[in-house]
Amino acid sequence: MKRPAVAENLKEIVKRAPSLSELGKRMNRPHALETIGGLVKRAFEKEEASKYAAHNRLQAVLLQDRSSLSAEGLGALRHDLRLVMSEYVIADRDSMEMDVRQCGEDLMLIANVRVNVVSDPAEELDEEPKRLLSPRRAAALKRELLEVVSGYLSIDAGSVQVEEERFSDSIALSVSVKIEEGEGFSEDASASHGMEPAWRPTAD
Amino acid sequence: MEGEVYVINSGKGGVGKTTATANVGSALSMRGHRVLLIDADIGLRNLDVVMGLENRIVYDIVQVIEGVCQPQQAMMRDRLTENLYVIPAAQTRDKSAVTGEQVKKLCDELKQDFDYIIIDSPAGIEQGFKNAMAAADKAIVVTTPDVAAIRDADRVIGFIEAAGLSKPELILNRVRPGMVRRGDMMTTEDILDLLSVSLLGIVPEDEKIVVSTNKGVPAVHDMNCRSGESFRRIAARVEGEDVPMMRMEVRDGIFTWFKKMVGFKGTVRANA
Repeated sequence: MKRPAVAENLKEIVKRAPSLSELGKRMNRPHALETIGGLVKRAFEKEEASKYAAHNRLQAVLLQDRSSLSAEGLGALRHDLRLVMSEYVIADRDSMEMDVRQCGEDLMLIANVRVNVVSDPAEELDEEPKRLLSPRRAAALKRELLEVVSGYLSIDAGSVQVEEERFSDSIALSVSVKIEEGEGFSEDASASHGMEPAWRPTAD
Repeated sequence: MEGEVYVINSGKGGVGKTTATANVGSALSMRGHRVLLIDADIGLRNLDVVMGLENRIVYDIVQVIEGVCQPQQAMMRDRLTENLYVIPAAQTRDKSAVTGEQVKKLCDELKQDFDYIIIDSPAGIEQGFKNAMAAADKAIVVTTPDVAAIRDADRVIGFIEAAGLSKPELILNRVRPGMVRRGDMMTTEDILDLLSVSLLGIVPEDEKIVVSTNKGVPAVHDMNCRSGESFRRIAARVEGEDVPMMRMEVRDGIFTWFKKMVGFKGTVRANA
């Protein structure tokens, strides 16, 4: 008759057992166990540590803040890019994203759209997946992009890239170009578009 | 010898400018320097309460600049350390009451008598910020590890450089080591990489700061306070000393840890 009592006791103990973070607090080492808890949680939930999100978002925001191109300037560039890309692919206009990103040493302007495609089971057997743009069309898009973007930014003409990535229900078309002059938008370009230069304090 | 004029700013409010001003100033005077703190946040004065001097105010900085009184009459002597003085901001005026040139003239005059003048800048990038910056030789930027504070710090760093001051140094305030370890807070390296400035010090998040503000006694006076220790080290670096960064982790010795384990077991038994 002792066994059920032990089991009862065990149940009771388990019920009363403190949570990981509480244990940590009692030991006055809250971080040790929270860390383990956080890692385990992360491993199961496949959640990326939020500091990467903070770092990446800030990187993009700071680049924009530091540049002399205003929010309107970026908006105009986004609009023009959208027009060009919609001549080549049929995509929801609002689906286009444009971003200035630091890639290693280089500052890149990246834009992409997603084109929904109906997946055809027969097609999946094909050796070569269907492409959105033929090489000739892709080259034409490159030329047009170069023209549009260089109206706003000074860019490396040889660095324009057009890529397609296939997903189960869509194809993402992304274009990227390297921005020249370290980490700034060209002053001339912004001036010619009537952008205000960065505020400089003046002596009172 | 002529003293140095520092301005402490941040862009975003509430990141610890006034706390940093009070603590770095107190620590420098504890190290034997003659220090003057100026609250440049006209209309929203706070440095006086953080220093515990709110009952001693007779004149303020606007009255000094308007010639109502001598600078020496507006200086309040600190209660705890020698050679530390505070000129409070005016509470009933606004930022347009003074100009950058006037603040600069005042500081140029006063730096003959002090080793360090530290100006507590208002938040933002408007007139008050420009006034505070106009007088300074060097700038210290305070930020916390969150995206809004860092973004604003970056703006302010840009303005400081555009104004011709040397590259500002950074105090990273309110760091929570547990969150950094879990990957939920950016590391010091992440932040320095984004802002590309040099680091003056890291200050951990510390409840004792609230207590010290409640009392009006800067944390550097508490020798067992970790944030106070950080500020003491920052003061040493301002002076030019090469002090290692403070370790953010509190590590117990194996013996203390064992004792805590035993204690912890005891409480579980008592609960059961």
